[in-house]
Amino acid sequence: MSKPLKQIHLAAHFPGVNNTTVWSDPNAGSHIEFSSFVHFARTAERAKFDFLFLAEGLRLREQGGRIHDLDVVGRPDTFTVLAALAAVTEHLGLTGTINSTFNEPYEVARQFASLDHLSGGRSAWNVVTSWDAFTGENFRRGGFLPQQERYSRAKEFLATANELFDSWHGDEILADQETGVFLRDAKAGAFVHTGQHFDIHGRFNVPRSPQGRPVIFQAGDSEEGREFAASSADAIFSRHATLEAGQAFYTDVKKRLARYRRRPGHLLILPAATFTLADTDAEAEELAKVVRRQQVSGATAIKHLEFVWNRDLSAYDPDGPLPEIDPDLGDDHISQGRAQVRMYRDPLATAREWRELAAANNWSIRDLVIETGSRQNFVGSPETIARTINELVQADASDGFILVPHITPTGLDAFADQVVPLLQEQGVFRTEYEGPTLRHQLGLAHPDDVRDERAAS
Amino acid sequence: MVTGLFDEAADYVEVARRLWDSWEDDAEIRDAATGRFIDRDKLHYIDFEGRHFSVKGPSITPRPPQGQPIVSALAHDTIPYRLVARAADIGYVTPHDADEALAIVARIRAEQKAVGRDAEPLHVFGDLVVFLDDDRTAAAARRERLDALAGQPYTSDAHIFVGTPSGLADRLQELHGAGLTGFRLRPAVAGHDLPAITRGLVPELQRRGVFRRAYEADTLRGLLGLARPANRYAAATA
Repeated sequence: MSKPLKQIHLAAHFPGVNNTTVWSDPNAGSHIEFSSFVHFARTAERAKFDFLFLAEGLRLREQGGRIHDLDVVGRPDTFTVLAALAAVTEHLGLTGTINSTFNEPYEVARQFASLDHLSGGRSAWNVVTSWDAFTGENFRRGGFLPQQERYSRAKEFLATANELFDSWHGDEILADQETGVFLRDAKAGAFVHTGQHFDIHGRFNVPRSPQGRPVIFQAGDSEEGREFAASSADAIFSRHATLEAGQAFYTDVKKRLARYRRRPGHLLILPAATFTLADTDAEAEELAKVVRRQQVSGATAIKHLEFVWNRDLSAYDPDGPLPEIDPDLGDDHISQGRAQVRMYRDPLATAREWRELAAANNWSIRDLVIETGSRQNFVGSPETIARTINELVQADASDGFILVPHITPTGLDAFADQVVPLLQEQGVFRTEYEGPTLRHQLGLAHPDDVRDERAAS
Repeated sequence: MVTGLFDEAADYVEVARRLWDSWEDDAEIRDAATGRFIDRDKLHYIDFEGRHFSVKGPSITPRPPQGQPIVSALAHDTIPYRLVARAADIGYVTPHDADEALAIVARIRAEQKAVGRDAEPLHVFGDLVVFLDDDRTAAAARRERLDALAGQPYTSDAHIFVGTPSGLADRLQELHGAGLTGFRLRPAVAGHDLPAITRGLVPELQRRGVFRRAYEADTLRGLLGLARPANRYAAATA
């Protein structure tokens, strides 16, 4: 007997502040105006997507000591946007990235519980960590958090927020007009937390929300990040969207769950993925080349090379050969505010490899950055893309994808109109929403039921 | 202690206002020819260093339509009056009669002068709790019923008005004459007194020619008669 078909989960990542987003295209619109968010969210909801995803960065990126000016930059506040979107959508989940280093649990728990109320149970929190002093310069606590403590704080932050969410059970509000009694339980919301990072007590002032707790996402790829996800997250926003890397990651993370008495279905793996869609595969390949050149201008190629060389390369011609000079291995990095630069752990080796590649293929700096940079994950006709996504999910390379279009705000339109119906025809994607809350769409149990199940086992 | 907290609040507002100004209005250029999305010379570090925190900037959010959103604060005494005078666009105050209103407004205006803001418009709104009915007896009876249910008389920092829409209109005009520039009404019972305000008080004020019949501006600043603030950083580099 063959294994039953898995249902695919799909989400929409609002185009971000990096060079994946193409702002120079004539179709590119505002990334600030509410109408852009409305268009994007309604397209995702029309296509029955699970949720919309907002990323966040807490300091503008810099390179060579100056604000990076080549990419889309500047965006509105996550909670404000998601709350406004809750009013113009009915089923779409609303996922916000909120940092556990520069915020406080009481405040963040209030914000997510409030979003969960306003949206009728559609909130989700992507918990991210940060330690760098660069970002810290915008915050009261500065860059005080040592790198090794970022997950220790994140874990305690989430555990504390959960204590706050659970400080109300949902049956406390009586509101009896005759007797004037509002609360059945006079102690509703009372909490005490004493720990390494937080020492707080008081009354949580937002009653139990429809989902009990927001859905929890985790995005870190390190050993600690994976373990944190296995212990505490409902879903992972991963970067492994290909078959082999996806399967390896999927297996690794899901096998960690047993340690926490959790089952594979308790943690969804949802990689970020870009796509280029056209009528035929050949047209899509051509379009993908055009998009890559839009994403990597000559100036962007030089900046990208600087991530590895860690020195000012502005004198080099992007259409010329790679620098003969070697990367600077100093501790101070030319680029600030990017996770990306940590990918190049051995800059000398990368530089050598890139020079060889460029020489062998007669590539300029710009050609090299385009060819070695991140490619669109899915390139092809609607049929090809639908088949690829379905194969990856059925092969347990993921449980679905968080799609990152490159055009704001219309970049999802064609996918919604042309790819989603094919997935629906194959019976692997919903044609109607499963229920009112995001937990329903993701097939996740309500926290109260999970607790009962663990208590019973 | 209290002074320290209000000094921190003033720093907080100062940081917010600098961050709102940290992007000039025309910083986003989308210049395909040079590949630049922004003109980074129009983004500014705010470099705030205070006793309680320091903030580098610039903001991660571009300057909003109003330039700077409205800042308002409730104030009951000298130290908070000083915060209002230093940092706010609207102060909410709680006089119980016209004489108190006159005195409070004078104190705020004096503080405003002391910090050199006397040329800038600063609203002083009166806060009032209202029980509104078509006759005064009905409003008083509602208040008494709620007091009985609660087991104690309702009290408030603000004046509690119990009466009719036209009586409230008289009171507001009197307080306005004493120097208050507007009012923040707190409906005692949202479901009853809010509609009584919008259906009873508002038409009464409109008949008297002292409240708008249509919005005269698209922004809150416009409705408050406050100009869009110039950008401090743009002025410095112009």
